[in-house]
Amino acid sequence: MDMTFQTALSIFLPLSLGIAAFGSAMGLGKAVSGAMEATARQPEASAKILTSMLIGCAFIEALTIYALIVVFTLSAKIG
Amino acid sequence: MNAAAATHETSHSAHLEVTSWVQLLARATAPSAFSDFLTQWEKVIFSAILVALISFLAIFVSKGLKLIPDRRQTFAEILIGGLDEVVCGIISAKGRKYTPFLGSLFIYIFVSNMFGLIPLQNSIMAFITTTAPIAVFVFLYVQWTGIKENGILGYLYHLCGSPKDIVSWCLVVLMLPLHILGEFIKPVSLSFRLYGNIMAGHVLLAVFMMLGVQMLAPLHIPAGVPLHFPFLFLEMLVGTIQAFVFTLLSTVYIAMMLPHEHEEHETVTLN
Repeated sequence: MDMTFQTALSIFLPLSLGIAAFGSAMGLGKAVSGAMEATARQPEASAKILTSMLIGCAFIEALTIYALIVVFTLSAKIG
Repeated sequence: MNAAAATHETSHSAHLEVTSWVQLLARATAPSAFSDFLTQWEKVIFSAILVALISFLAIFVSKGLKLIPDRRQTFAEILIGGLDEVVCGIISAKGRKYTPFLGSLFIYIFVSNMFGLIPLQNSIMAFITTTAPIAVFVFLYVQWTGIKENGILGYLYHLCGSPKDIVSWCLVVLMLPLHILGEFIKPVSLSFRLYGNIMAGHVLLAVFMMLGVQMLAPLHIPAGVPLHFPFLFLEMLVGTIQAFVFTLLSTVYIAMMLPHEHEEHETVTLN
């Protein structure tokens, strides 16, 4: 099996998306755990904490979405 | 099954896309000038319908404003007051004059995302050709605000990192390209964040729709199991959050451009 660029793309595109998902999962886990600890300390502020957590999660998620866009753009080149 | 699969794919993009009624109409009036017009201007048609809807709602709500509001006026006041709070919370009290722009951004993106979830419709924010102009416009508005508030020299001074002592002045050579690059990166990230989130959500919906259609393929009826139903709620959440994040980030960029005087800390007296 010789390595054409299509083979290389087929191997590395899903792999790169998996790595991006792994990184964002770790980041999101830290963010959500911080939000849960804060809510446990002060339950009456839970609405504000929820809003801030959602905004933070949107930022972290955006980096994974960039990887997804690259996958969509390049996946047309696999034959 | 091929015909069913074809209803969910378009030939223009590399990924699956949900068909919309404009595309169906274009396919029905197949080789005609009207059909070409429809395919080319599909997103503009959606956008025009959205703008008309938002304008009618705004006019309907603001007719006959009373001092003691009734239900319809209260709903509008809650919405606009909430947006005003978000903007003024970040830009301090003089953010009031930026609320119309930022508030309309939020309303436009939010309504277009919600509209994309109605069956047989597509959200116009799922295409980079829609989100990029909005992000570019926000970028131009932020630069214009910087020039208007600081003056052209103050704007360049701010771009150099506001050097005050000899060390900062020596670092201007480094700070100026960094700040200029940073200013250009902001609309790129804004547009791609919104585009990626909404497009990924719609591809998810399209894949599950196709799965649902293929499940009933042996029956040879043009129907499918609505497997994508739970993901509609995820899409509603994501659409709202992305509209909010877009507006919030635009507000933060405007706030960073405004002159930071030495903040007058409102002293809170504990009585």
